[in-house]
Amino acid sequence: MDTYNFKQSVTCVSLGADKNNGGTRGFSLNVGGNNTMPFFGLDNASEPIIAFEIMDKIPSDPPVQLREVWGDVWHDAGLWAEKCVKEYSSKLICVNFVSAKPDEGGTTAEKACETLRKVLSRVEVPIIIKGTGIAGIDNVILPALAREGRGERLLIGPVLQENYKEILAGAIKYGHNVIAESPIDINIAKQTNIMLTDLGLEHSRILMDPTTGALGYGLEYTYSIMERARFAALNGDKALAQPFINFVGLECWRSGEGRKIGYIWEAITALAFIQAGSDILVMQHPSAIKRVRELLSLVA
Amino acid sequence: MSKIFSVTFLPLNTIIMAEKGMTIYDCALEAGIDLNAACGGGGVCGKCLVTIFPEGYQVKACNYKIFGDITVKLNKSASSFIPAIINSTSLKHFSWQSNSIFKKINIELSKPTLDDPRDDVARLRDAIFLLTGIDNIDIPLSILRRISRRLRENNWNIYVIYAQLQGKIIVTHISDDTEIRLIAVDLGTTTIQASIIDGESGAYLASASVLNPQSLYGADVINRIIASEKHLSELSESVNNIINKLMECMQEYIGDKKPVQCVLVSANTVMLHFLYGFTPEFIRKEPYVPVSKSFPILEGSQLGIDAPIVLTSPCIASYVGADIVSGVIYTGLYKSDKPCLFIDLGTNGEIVLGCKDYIVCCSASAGPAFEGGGLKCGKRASGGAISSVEINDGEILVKTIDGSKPDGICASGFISILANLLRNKIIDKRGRFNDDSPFTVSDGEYKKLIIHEDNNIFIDESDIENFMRAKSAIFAASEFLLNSMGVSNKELSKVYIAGGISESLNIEDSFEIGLLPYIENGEYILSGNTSLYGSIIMLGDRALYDKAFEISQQAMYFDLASAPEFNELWSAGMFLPHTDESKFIVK
Repeated sequence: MDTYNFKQSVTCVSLGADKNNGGTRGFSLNVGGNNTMPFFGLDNASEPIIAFEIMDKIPSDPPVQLREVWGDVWHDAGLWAEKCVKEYSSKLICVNFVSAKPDEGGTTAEKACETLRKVLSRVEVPIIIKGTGIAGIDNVILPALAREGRGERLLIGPVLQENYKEILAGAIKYGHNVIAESPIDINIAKQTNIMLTDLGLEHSRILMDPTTGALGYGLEYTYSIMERARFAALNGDKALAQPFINFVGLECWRSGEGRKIGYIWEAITALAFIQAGSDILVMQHPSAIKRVRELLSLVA
Repeated sequence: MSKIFSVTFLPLNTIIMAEKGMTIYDCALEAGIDLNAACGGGGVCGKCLVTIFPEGYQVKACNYKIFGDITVKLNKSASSFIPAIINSTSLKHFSWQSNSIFKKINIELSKPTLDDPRDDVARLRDAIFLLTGIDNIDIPLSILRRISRRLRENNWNIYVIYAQLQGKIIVTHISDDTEIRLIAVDLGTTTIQASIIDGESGAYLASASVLNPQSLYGADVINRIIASEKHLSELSESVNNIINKLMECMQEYIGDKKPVQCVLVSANTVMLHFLYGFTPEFIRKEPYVPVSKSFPILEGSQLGIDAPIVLTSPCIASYVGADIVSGVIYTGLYKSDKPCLFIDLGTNGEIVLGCKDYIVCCSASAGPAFEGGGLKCGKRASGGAISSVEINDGEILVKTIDGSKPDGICASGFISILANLLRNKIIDKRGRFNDDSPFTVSDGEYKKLIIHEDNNIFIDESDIENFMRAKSAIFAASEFLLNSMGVSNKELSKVYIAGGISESLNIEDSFEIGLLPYIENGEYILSGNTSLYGSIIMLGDRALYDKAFEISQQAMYFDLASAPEFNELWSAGMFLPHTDESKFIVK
């Protein structure tokens, strides 16, 4: 098949540091490096990686399907992470610190660090850390977690236009990567990347979260932004040439239809974002993940 | 019986009698005092603060209802509307053409006899036709009423001054010899400027300007349209009266009251509606349709203006008016080989892209920022306004427009400030203050940057954001027009900047903050009051007046509010200089 020759590749970002690189992970993962649009074919560089999402407390009001799978372990983040790796061959885990949210009771930096410690000691895969998106809370938790996980080359987010300075300091000092979040706005995405790199963060340490909309809940908006940004990146716009991360599981399982229909909703949403150029799909249900892996094995 | 109280306004010492329950704002309106209330009394802008005297507490004039005799001290930005003479050497001068609109002829009419009993009007028409070849001749009522006596007083040897335009003649003077005096008025939303021109040489006899008294009803056209739902006749009368006042002011300066032949008014569409007493209410509502884009030639008496006739040039659309057409004529954009951009940096921010093959335009609706509005220490470009700054050795040095003590910042001053702050990394590309800047003062979460300590002049992040919105609107609107015509910056030969701000605008600073597009193969031309100059050269060449009608018909207007691409472009402009920095790299 003819492929179009684009001017520039997406920047490569390395997740996780092994013993030789100052961490305790078993291996590193590379994301990014794509040099063409997904519909021209996926290769090693552009095949997205699936991250399993776990939480630092038992989710309140969880969908039945999720309880069926994780109900035995989700009281303990360490056990939960272990199950992802041992039973489902997870290569990447995202710890979502939901307990930090005010309506979930709130948590302290110490407790959060304890959770991270547990997960780091139980599994050897690279780790993603997700905060609440509330600047006041994240500015306390995320820097503490950055320090706790120093050397491990975590992926920490979200970093927003409002609070990037506070989070950035810890990320740079302790050698982590950063998720730059934007509200389905290509200009804000670009501006945030410019602000981050202006302050000294290398391009090779940034992932973009364009804010994912689940199927039926804004998927096409996210899709458009991703496609436009990726296209601009491949055509030479350095400020947009970062890999994408999509929180598919989170969005699908809190949507009305998603909860009702189940893991297929999550799978379909994920499949759409593969086409848009997603580099990390953060997902929750193993059956959805299985479907996505099946498709990837067919096309990649 | 409702109680009546006296309301005294200091320092003007104006006293009016008002009914219990009236707001101070209403009283000020009645007294003809402008509280500089951008929202026209709507309760939202907070600019109408006045001080109750002698108690000393501040209240919002639009909120405070009087319930007793009261004395109110006005804030320093309140003003009243007295025209002031402008030194006309600071204005551009023009050479007059041979086909100027107004002409004077000396006619020796044959006396009526029994053999030739033609009526006076027919006799005059025949004579004018013989001399000019034009038989479409209008004689206004005011002249008809005097014609018979004039002809006989002058023994049938009379000087006739007439306007010849659009294929017809309108007689404005029949009497003895006199100079041709013409008045051109730029009826701006914020400032009104007028000039008396000698209709034979084109020389300025006097120029004057005054704040638009309609600002009592709001700073921008939309607020005034809303006010016109209740106050159309007041809004209309106020502009017609102020034109007379400008005339009086200039005549006093010249030293005589020789008759004026016409007033040619150039203004945006809404202001012209007010001039004629047309309701502008439907301009504000989709699909934004004016009563008319061109206006009838009326006798001054029909509009309460002291001149035989009132002329206007036509408009292009609801939001791009005769002032812009005037600017297009003056800059010559309509006959350029290569595309040119014309930007009016005023309250409305109209932009035109064109050349001899096409003209397209839009209105960026930039807001009051370019008139110094919407900023905490903003003011119009007048004495005391900071127009440029320099940052040296940790100090901010300011320059004001006239060298007097600074009491506010005008738009070009703000542009200079932004460019300097950006250059010195005191603000980041989003326009937020960087930490540990020596100039910022914090009050909890709120930060402000002191520009001039003694006079408490400062800016804060919301001022910067407001200004960025305005500058982004202008840049995005220009880009939009360029994109829609497939024209790249490289092809632009000239960028004309019009409006009061062009007097003191720094192009480099404007470029640095992303206000103006970068042009490789062309030049920026600061054009001044193109609305006024365009009117003057139209008076000097009737072919240009005809051209204005052609332009108003042929120009294409883009409505930015309904163009989704515009929002994107505007959003990308909310960065200093721009989200796409490559647009501003000087190659």
